[in-house]
Amino acid sequence: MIYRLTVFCLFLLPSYLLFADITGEILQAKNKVFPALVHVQPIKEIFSSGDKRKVQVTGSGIIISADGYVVTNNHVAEQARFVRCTLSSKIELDAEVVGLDAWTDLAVLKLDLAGAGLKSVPFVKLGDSDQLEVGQIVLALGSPLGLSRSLSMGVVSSIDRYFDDMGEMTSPFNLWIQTDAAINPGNSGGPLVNLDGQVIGINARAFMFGENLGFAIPSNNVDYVVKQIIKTGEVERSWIGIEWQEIKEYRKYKKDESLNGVLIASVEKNSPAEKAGLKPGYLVKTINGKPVTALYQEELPPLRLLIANLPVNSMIAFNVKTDDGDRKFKLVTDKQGKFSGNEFHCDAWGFSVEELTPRIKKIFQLESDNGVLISGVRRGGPADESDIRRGHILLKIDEEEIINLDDFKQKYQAMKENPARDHLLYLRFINRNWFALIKGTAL
Amino acid sequence: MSRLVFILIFILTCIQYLIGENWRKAITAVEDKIVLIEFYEQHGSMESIEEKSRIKRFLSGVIVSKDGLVLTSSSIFKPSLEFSGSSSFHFSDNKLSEIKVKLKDGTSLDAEFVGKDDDKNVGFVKIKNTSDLPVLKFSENEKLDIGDPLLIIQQLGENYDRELIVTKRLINARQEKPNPAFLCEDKISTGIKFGIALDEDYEVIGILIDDHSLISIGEGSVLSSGGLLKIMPYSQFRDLIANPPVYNKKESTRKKWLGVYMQPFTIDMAKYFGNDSIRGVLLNTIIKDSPAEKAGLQSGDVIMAINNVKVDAKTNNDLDVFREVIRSQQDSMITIDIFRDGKILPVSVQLAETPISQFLADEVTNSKLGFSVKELTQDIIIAKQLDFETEGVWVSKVEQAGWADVAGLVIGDLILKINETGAENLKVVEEIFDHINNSKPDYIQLFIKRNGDTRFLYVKTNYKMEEE
Repeated sequence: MIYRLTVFCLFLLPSYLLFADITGEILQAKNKVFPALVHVQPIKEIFSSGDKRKVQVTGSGIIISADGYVVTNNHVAEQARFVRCTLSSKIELDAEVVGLDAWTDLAVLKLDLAGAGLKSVPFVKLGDSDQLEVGQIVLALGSPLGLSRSLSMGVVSSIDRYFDDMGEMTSPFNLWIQTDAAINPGNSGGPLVNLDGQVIGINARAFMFGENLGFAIPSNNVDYVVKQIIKTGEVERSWIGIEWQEIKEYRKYKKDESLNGVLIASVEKNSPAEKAGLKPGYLVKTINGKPVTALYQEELPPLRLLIANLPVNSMIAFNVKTDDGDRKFKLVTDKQGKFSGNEFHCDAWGFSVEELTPRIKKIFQLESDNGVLISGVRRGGPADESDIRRGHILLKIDEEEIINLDDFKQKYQAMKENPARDHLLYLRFINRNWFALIKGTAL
Repeated sequence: MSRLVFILIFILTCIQYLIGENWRKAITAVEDKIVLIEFYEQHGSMESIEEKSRIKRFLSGVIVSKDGLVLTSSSIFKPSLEFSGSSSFHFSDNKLSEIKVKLKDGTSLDAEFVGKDDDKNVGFVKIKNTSDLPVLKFSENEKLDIGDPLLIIQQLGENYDRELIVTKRLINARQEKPNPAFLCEDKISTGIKFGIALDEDYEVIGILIDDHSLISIGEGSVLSSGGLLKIMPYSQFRDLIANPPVYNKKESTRKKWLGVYMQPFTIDMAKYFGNDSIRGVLLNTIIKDSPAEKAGLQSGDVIMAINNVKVDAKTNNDLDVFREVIRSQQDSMITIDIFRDGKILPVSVQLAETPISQFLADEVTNSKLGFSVKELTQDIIIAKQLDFETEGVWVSKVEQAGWADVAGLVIGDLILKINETGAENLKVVEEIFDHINNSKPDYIQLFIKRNGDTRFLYVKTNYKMEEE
């Protein structure tokens, strides 16, 4: 009713007054957020082609507390060795990475206030993204293409944009706010702001070759993740190994429009769900007694959150409809694996290795947890000479199994003590194996 | 000085005489045995269930038997029949039809495709209902070597009325591995990569072959076939003429198979294993259910000899030689010597036929739903990075904008279930398709596997509209 009234009133206003009013609102909103805007410049240490390299990138961020916590994107802050920040007042100061969450592409930094001789910094509060409406005017602030302290304006184009798994850019736990406010690389981590000057999203994506198609992570998702990171340095999630599927078409196939629930599309090997006996094709009706349903794709992220946000080792009860009638299942959740693994650089052998994460295991369809991934090979190095390639999984050295990254590091360090010895590496690539001899160097 | 000039003039005259006079003679001796083969190449498309496009092609060939066997290039039928890591999907496995063989005098005769050998790059067609054709006589010349001249006779293109062209080349190089061949400088391209090669005595000693390996881009190989002409000596295909390979879908002639992946065994590796004198082929992967696995071979074994003949692989070309030795075994029972754990032991292996490629696999199509499935073959298992023991059917065609396409079915998806029934093999799928065609349901559920994940797809049908 209030909304209708407002619209009605707006119509009554002479148009020149309307514009004056909006400019005023924009300025007001900007003035609230602008002091808390941060230009973020991490120096990253990346592993590329089997070598360690440093690169500088540019992103944006927003201060959310007086003592200097800054929200930005994971893809801005990950692998950062050193972060330099510039406030909108042009004060420069260092920051450290408090924690990262690749699953939501969020990161928290802490500004070194003491180092810059500051006691406190201006900050903004996160707004409630559930109150957003399509058509509402929003502002994007940040450093597009490195042009710091920029502002662009647009409207909310959609509040429930869903993206299926897109590899590195996966976002299983949130829907996206789509906006036509100009968002370019460098805007990443910057705030999307409503006219009340509240941060209602963190800008994170834009479509290449698309125009005015920007995407922000809703502030309510941000709030949960940031609180977790500040508290423990990470976001711990529960994992059961199920991929869910919406039931819009399943209903039609079953000729029963009253069906509720969510379909199990896939059950991962050796997961809690598999061990409990859950199978693809089962229709889950309740989780811990709470009825669940996902008619459309857009309803999947909240459902995934429902499980992910439970403490690890929680007991979950499912009521499930199968072709053989209704059944009950119980299982205990596992901890969700890392999104990206740690890397290690082996200069003497000319390659870098990365620990196996669940995601890598899935991409390479690995059965066992053992081994490390060859993440890069230096051209002309010993590994390159013996045809070791990026993507190979290193399983054994001299008949000894490599259990994980730490195990590899230990063995590698020990072997470096005796550089004259030859080593035979046993690797796997997809369904083929490869022997590689790393020749010792004559003293 | 004048003596030198005299000798020069004498030599030039001789060459003039030799070439000028006898090239015509050389042509006359062979021209009635060289034929033009006209045929249609069917192009399969993965986006359409029916094969619509076909292209008219021409190739040269030579008559090698009185009853009409014609030897030509294996490029007459491009699909690979045996599995290999890579294969193009754009050719149809339909047997070639409407083949015509045109003789020197212009007569055009019906012919059929016999078969081909991709290792040797030769193919055969057979002229129907004929008995008294002139046969090209080949002979062996073991003395040929680098620097020796060869006469190459090829057919020119349509613009030149398929006239024969003779060029004189010198053998610039000899290729020993995996199959011996002569390489000559090639300046003239006739467009048709087939022809015959004659030695100085105008004996036909071999054929010109279209070798794909010359085109492959990679370390150590020539960037394009432009510039090199490859001649395969008679000894390499003599037995094939006597006993041509047969193409008959799954009953096609296939070569022997061990079922391993291998790599060169270097001297450094031999030193690593504490025995410098070991030479051989290092097996890195044993394929499930292969003859190698059945014989107990293991990853890490080094094959040192086959039937007491030593093998040695220091380079990838050496591996090709080893592969060729295995593939061309006549007897399927062989004995190999392997080096394992510091010891040499003999192992008996019963070789099998090389598994078929996806081209020869059976296919079942439902044109209403708009997709086809094929049984899984080794090449698909490798291409899709599946476990070697995976069973089932995979989506080989999806009609563009058809019902299945709209539902999101993608070529390469593994189909695990259709509705509630497991799709273990083609026979079951055929039965399910029959049932669907009769019951005409509004929705069909497909349970598929893609990139390691399973999911359900729902195909919305529209039988009513189809019938209107």
